[in-house]
Amino acid sequence: MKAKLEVKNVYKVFLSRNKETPALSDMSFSIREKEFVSVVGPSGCGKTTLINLVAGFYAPTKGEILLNDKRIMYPGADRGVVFQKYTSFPWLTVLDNIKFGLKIINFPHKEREKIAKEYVKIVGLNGFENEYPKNLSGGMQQRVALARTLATNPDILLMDEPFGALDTQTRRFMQDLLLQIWKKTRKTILFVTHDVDEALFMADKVLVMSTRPGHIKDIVDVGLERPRNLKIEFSNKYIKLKEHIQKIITKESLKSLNEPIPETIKQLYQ
Amino acid sequence: MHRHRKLHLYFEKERKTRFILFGILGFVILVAIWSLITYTGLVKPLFLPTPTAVLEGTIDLFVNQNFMNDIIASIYRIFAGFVIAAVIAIPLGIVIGISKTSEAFVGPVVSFVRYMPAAAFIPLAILWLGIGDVEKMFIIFIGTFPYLTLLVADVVMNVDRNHINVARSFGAKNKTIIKEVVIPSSLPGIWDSLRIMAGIGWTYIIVAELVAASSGIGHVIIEAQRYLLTSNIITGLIVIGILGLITDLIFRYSYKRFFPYSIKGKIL
Ligand SMILES: Nc1ncnc2c1ncn2[C@@H]1O[C@H](COP(=O)(O)OP(=O)(O)OP(=O)(O)O)[C@@H](O)[C@H]1O
Ligand SMILES: [Mg+2]
Repeated sequence: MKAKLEVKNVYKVFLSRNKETPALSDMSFSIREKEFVSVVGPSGCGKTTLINLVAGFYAPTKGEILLNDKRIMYPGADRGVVFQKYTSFPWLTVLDNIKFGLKIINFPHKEREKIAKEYVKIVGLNGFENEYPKNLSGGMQQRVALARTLATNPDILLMDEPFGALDTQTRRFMQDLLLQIWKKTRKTILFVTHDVDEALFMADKVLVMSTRPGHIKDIVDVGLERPRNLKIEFSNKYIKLKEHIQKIITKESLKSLNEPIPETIKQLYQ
Repeated sequence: MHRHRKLHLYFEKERKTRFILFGILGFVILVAIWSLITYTGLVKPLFLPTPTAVLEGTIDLFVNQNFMNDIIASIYRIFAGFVIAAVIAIPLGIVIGISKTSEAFVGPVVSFVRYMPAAAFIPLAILWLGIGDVEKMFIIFIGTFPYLTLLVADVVMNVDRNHINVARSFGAKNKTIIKEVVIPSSLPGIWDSLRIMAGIGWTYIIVAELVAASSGIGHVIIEAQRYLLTSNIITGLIVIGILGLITDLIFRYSYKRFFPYSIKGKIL
């Protein structure tokens, strides 16, 4: 199948106060249409940088990123971004928050309301249309963010640890919701997380990143049956995959550790 | 659920009552100390008259000396001077807050003017604008405008980067980002800056009415100083305090009305 998103030999170096920080170094991978791809890696390895590059917030230092064979130059509504931080606008009600993207892309006034209401239903915020974000829990805030992003019908969803700040139970609900939405809309999804379980549970493919400067260390085909349920986390296949990924991440994390390797980790992974 | 709400409202009410009670208590203590040191003769009436004397003086001011006109004159000057300051400072502050170039361009000038005492402008103001109301408004303007500009710029600079990134992710251009994110996000902070500077505006009324004024609270206070009418000085100060307090309350109340979504509140 044809590649939807292609990241080709991408480098990103940040310049700040005469200091160069290489964040990504020769990163390459591609995602197919309708694929759900997770990205995991040690902390600070450049995951957010990757999302920001694909979102078009800044350009790669070297290399290129293609979406539908077209080079990404600027941000655009063909990509929908969901951030880790709660980003609903406090001065807008839930419904107006969801309409925000539609307003930015100059969608016909009349249909905004209809579409927004549709997504209120899809993300399960019925009855909260007129609440302000300050009255919402973290999970509900992320539902708003998800609906706001989906409403403009982007080609691909870019999600940067969207559930990272939620408690385990809420996170489970949100994962389930996202999988349902994915099944219904069949969007291509690039999903960054630091949680190996989350990566495996959600994705068709897991990209494992090296320590900073980040590049792809391994690409793991998950191949677990769908629809997923929590039982798969106890299957042999799942446990094998998890161990494999965890080993790479731990090894990579240790590379940037300035202290002696903790004893527990030594025994398990060295 | 219903009961809970009622209970909640009850506590909310009690909290408010307690707040008002404490507020009153503060004044009661102040007046008590004042009474203690004056009625006992500890302090001479020339330096600090008794509360009763001040009360009699106040009634005299209102009834026989048209004090109300002075109050209205001062309100008018403060209001006009401050509105002009706000009308220029808000857009200017937004521009400074948004763009580095304009900050480099205007920022230092504004900061420079900020350190000049408003009183020092009186001779210039009289030279340029004469001795009428406009000159007094100008002093209020000079006293509030630079600070207000810098406060607004600071509010704008603190707009959540994530909110801007959300707008950018939908492909919004700078103009749209300013209109849809920067301004709505800054409004509560700008309103608060107005509240703070309006309060400070009241402290400039004496400076504004120091020279060549024939009316105004400041004028009454300066006259009182000349004739050693200590009681009138105190009345003037109390009235300025009350007007400042009312200004503050209006801003606070309208803040709640305009920005019901704000999470701003007391920490404890
Ligand atoms: N705008 C920037 N300017 C300078 N350095 C940056 C910038 N953005 C990121 N970096 C640096 O690039 C590296 C990668 O950052 P990034 O946020 O992409 O990592 P991450 O994998 O998302 O981290 P985390 O696990 O904390 O989410 C870090 O060392 C970071 O300090
Ligand atoms: Mg990150």
